[in-house]
Amino acid sequence: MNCSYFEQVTDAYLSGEIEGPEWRIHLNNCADCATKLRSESDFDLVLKQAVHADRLQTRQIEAHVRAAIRHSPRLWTLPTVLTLRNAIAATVVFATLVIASLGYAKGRIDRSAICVDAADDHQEEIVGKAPRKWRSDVNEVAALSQKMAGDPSIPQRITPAGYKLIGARVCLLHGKRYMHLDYSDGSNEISLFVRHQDDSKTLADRVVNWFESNAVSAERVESLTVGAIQKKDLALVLVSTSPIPDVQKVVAQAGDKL
Amino acid sequence: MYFGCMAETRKAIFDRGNSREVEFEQLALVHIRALLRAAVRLARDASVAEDLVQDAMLRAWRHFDRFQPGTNCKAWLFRIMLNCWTTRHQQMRQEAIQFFPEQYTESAPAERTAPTRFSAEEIQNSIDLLTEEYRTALVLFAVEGFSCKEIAEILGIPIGTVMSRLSRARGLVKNDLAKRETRYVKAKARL
Repeated sequence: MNCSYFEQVTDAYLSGEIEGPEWRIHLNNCADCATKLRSESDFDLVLKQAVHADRLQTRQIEAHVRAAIRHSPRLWTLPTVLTLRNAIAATVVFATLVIASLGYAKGRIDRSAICVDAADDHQEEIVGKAPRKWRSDVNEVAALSQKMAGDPSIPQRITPAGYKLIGARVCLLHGKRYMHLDYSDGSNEISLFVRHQDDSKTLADRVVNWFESNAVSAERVESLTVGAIQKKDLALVLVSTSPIPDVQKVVAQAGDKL
Repeated sequence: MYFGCMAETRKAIFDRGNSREVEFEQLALVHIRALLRAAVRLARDASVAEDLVQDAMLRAWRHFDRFQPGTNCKAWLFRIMLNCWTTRHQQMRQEAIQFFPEQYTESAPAERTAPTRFSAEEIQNSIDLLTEEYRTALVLFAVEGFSCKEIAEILGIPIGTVMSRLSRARGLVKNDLAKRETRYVKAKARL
């Protein structure tokens, strides 16, 4: 056999390359390769005819498959499943809204209670000069800040312009421990309450935080103004006798320094 | 208004369900004979083959959403059927792979035209003696007319592997048929 293509006929036939123009031209001119190709093709034809000779009855299988399809339609086509799916979706949406609303309401109530407690604390300890143990040493304040807010420099950092840090102590606002910082500008004293919230963040806190994170809120509590902000897991509450816009400004500035 | 829309949606889904049934019948059920033919060669048992095809068709129906219209439905069905077969007969398959090669001497394919004097049953027997891997490749190629590329996709193996399996399978069947012919000639001479 002199043809160099002869050994490649079978591979070309199996891979389908034999259908290409190069092979067609060659097969027209090479009797040996053409014969080999015919032999391969005939062989497959023999196999095909032999297998096709089987008398196969498919009617029963077809009937069974058709019946199974009709009697077990895919789940998503069932109206009951459709209704159930819609009901589940509606329930999930409703439950989410209820939880969010309740969480938001509770969070707002908690925040108001904290503001009232902060105003009371300021009134009693700063205005009323109640005998309490204050830490005035810079290192002691820094240590307390590290413990309460996770950062020793916070009391100095958030000092409002024109004010000076007088002292710090721990107090309870609505059952939660805050660091109470007392600042003075020589004539007025203000209170800043700081707390790191990672340790006991309730669902209500999370919901309110989600709605109001980085937003400054302020309200009047009797003769005082209480402003608050939540930033970087730190809650900051300011109590002052200044009007609401001034308090909001100071709180926002302190928030930026957190 | 809302419930009206719901009713319309349900109707649309029912209609879509029915149209999917019709689509399935037109695209998939027409290949049942080809599947059964291959299944009989694969399983070498008619009743097992019927079960296999039935399982494959029902699985195809359950996952008909995954079938991409315009692609090769027959190849998709064969892939499902072969997966069913692999799942159901993993153990048997391993035994078959170990056992059946011994029935052949792996010599080079005989360089001759395949004899046609053999009965369909004898040729089927020759195919049935192949290992499952060779048998599957040969049936898909020679009987069902899939290309090597399609077989590679159906079986999830490289084209080169398909080519080598086909080449080996054809050689083994040719060799077996040649032996049968030799025995036939000898028997005839004795008479």
